[in-house]
Amino acid sequence: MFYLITFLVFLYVHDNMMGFSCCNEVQAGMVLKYSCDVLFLYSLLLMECMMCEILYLEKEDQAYQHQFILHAALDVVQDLAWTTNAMSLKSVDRFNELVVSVYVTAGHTRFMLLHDTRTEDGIKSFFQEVHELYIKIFLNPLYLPGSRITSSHFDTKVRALARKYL
Amino acid sequence: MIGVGKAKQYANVLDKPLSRGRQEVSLSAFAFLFSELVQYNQTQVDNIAELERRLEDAGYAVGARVLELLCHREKGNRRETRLLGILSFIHSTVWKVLFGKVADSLEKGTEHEDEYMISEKELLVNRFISVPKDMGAFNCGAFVAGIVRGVLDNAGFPAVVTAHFVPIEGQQRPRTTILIKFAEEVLHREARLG
Repeated sequence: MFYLITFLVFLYVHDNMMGFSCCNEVQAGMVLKYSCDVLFLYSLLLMECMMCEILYLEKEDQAYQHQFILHAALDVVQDLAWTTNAMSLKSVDRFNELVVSVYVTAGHTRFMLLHDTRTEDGIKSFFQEVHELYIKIFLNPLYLPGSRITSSHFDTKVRALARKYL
Repeated sequence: MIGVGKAKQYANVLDKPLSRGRQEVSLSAFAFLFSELVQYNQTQVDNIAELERRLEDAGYAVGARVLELLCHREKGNRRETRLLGILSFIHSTVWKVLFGKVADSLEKGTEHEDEYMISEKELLVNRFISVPKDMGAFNCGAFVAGIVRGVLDNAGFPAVVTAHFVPIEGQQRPRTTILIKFAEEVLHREARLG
């Protein structure tokens, strides 16, 4: 059984109903692959900016499909985010056996996690810890909101948290 | 002995806790810093509108960060989804943390549905600033307007925010009003949410 986690952080820049697939302007979409323990780097889309993507995967061929599932769940998150005060939106979308869990921050930054069935508590604590790390990055006055998070320390900490809670 | 009594040093900012720490900063230090900010921007621009825009942009960055931090610290990770909610958040929590007191008043505009006003007898940032006559209606409160715009924009309530002087009879110094005009989509969404 393969162990899969895909994790995305989105910054919600504009409130519009355009889904990911029909954004009319894409600025320099770059995909860089480092190794089979993957960190994909995307640069900005016009309406939504992905800042950080971390993949733990044994089979690389599934990676694109998992990304697609996550991006497709974005529309659902947009609507759901306005219905509740809470930050943790729990599981938002399903695809076969895979579940998408989402956590929305005050600034409408979305943390999305793609996983097979796991306990809900672990995921919520994971999101809360990552949220704290994200706030610390965000407080940096030289950090441009929406830009890619390049800190390797951040990367190490998120992976450690993932090992701990997931 | 060297190092005794020093606070624990962290290797990386990500390891530092997000606790409150010391709440207060010296007012004179802030006043000097702000005056330098204004003077620097004055050298970079040709007209008043541009200067106000620059101050607003500076405030916008502050507002974005203040929103994230305060929602985490003060509100225990609860977001604001309603208009009145976010306005009272700004009027009380944000003002309290930034200026040490809640704002004087929060009013809804009578002429237009989408206008709200936060009033303050004397904005902290304007306390040590005197505007020369030839600059007309320029208000350094544009910085605070930028902060408010940053909070609203990032919370999903796009708005145009400006700062105005409102003269009051019987008082020498005019009152400052932050005028918030929300975008249409915000009103539509509010109506939809009921």
